[in-house]
Amino acid sequence: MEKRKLRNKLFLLSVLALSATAALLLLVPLIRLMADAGVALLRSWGVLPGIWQVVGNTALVLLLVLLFTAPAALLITLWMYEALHGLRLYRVQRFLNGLSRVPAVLVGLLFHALLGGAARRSLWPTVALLAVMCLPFLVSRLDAALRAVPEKYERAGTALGGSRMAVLWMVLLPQALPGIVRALLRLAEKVLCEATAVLALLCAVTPDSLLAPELFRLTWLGREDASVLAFALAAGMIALRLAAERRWRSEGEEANCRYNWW
Amino acid sequence: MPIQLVVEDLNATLEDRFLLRDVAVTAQAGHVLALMGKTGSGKSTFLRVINRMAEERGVVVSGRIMLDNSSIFMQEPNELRRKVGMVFTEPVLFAGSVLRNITAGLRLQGVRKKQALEERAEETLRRMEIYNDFRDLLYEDASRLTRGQAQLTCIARALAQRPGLLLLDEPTRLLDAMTGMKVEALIHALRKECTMVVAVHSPQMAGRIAEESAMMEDGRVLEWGRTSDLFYHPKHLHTEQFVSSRFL
Amino acid sequence: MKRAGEKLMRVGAFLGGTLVFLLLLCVGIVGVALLLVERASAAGMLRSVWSLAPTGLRLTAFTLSTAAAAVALSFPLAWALSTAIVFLRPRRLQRARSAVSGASAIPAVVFGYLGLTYFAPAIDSAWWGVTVTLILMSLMRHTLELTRIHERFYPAVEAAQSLGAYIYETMLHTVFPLARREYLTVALRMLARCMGEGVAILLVLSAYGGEDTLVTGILRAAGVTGEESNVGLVLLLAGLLTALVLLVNAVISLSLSGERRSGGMDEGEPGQRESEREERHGEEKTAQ
Repeated sequence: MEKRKLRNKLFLLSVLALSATAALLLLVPLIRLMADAGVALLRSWGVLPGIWQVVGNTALVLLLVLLFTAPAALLITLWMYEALHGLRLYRVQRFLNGLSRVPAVLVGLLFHALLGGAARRSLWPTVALLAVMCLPFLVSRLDAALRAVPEKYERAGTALGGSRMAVLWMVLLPQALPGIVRALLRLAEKVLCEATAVLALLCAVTPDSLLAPELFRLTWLGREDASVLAFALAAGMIALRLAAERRWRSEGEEANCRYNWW
Repeated sequence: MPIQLVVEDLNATLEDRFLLRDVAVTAQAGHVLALMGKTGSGKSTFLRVINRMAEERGVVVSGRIMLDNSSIFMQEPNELRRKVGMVFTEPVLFAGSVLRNITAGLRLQGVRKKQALEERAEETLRRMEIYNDFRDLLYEDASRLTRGQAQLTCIARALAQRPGLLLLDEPTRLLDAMTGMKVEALIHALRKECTMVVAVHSPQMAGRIAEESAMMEDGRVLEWGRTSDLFYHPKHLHTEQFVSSRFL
Repeated sequence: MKRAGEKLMRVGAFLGGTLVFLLLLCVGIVGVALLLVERASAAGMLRSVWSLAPTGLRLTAFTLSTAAAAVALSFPLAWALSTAIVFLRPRRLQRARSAVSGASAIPAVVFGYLGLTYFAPAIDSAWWGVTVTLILMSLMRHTLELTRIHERFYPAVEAAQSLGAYIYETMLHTVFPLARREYLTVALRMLARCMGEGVAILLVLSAYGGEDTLVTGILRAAGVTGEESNVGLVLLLAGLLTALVLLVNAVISLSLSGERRSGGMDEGEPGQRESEREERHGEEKTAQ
């Protein structure tokens, strides 16, 4: 008995020690980054000149990617939902998962091979690259969101005499809405964070492109204001994720937290 | 051996919210005490307070809970849980064979001899009168069992430790009628070996299995006593509505 | 009228979905790959690829070793953190999970900045510099994924505790056997992510020089950093990276398809309903 107690104590101690190490490993550099960004901002208010151009480009690219990807992904998802079952569905899901794991640098290179030097002259190649790159990811997420809706809703809709499409649009999609919105927000995160694919597409570090490649450029050049952009980007992404989780937490996730027996 | 459970002035709070308030019930040794009430009335919390699992989730418990005149708060939680078995609504099986699942508690106590484990499993299943049904399944992967078989395995797992008190949290709610009746028959047969506190989802089940019943509402025990008294002479409106399945 | 409209929408969704799926996901990518190979062979570059093989192998070894070390070191940390969150303080789970989820949203390029600015000056070796950056980058994602897995096994943990098991026994005898395949899948996914990371590692390696991973080698050889481009090396490294990723994907698929029903719940692919999983199991059995 004593031996087991001792082992348990040792286990708990090591879990707590490892957890503290993990938390410190991340927190210490982030706190230093915050301090450096604060110092850089205090030293000069003129840091990050031209950043609004980059912000504008990023917002435009994000909007266009969403406009192209979301309807295409929704169509594919509905098709998968309606037409694929059993082993075929499973295979397509695996295929999509595999596609979403293709390294960004390879997709960027393929687009560079396709578009050549034209990639640097406008934002459209970047939009096309990000749209295609994010499509399998978005389809996977939308598919998961749709299938996370318990079948009882579909059965209830059908039992009320609703046609297949009516049940889909009026029962299933509204139920899956939190998951769909979270998938779109994850897509936005992916677009905002992607730098490797964009750099591979352009095969150069160009100014005024998107936020993440711009951070790469500033850091590469050793600019002090890189800390400000790094901190802003990290804080922005954390805020976006937290806001998304707070607002669009799904019913299914609530049910998965099995601590509600009281 | 069955043990007596006496609960007095029991309060349980979580982050300043009362989960149980002034609960007082007694389960006589060898009797079945049924806990009735709506979802969220505190039945599951009460069961988890008895085997001190609620405390691990941050619930603050005060009051007296005595098992054969010895306070549960004086006992080491893991030691206590060997004397107090628990069965959950959803059957939860561990990875491995059915035999491994039934003898999980024994293996935790350090019993490693295969023969001893097999003997205990067989003896437990015989006591439950389901040995013939399970004889061919003992070395099968537990994941292949049906939900009903899984729940019976969970009960066997709890009983293999020979507990004096068995807590059952709505054990038949997810089962089909036939398996549910089997579990009820089992509860009947087991009262010689252990006292049982059963959270029930229907008053009919309480009527069939329990000598004593308690009606719970918002973490309080509205009334408790002999099941027949509660059914025929309920003192509280909620009890009357519950036993007559008449909710307005 | 309404019915006809619905039929039209249904057919439209079906045809449109099929078309977009095939065009963008299959034909598009295969077409671009063929184009790339055609251009390279037209420029006579495929012949020079083999002469660069030793460089390719060196970069592969560096990529694999750093990614594997990062996963091996960050996994125990993430596992401990998720265990502490889920099993030791479950009432705080929601807040802690949100914090972990928020931290996992930090872009990789920010970790590149952190690695270059704070870790590279303190670490002499490029290998450790890259490994530490990858650990930082994957730590919270690991934690988040493991937290999700651990949450699913909570009922089994509760059942083990009701038998009088201590938390270490619960982890050892209940959670490990149930979750080992999922642990493996998470680790492999993380390995693939670490191997595919580009800009963050490029930033860290700029502090050292002389070493490269496959992705940073591709970026350099493609001329991203202003060096002269080398299409032969790009092709070779891209081929090696593809082979590695395909290998990891195959192992992930094998690991997922080996998952079995246990713990009273199906551990199948998320995004499949119970009925579909059963249907799939049935079809697989029939195929056998």
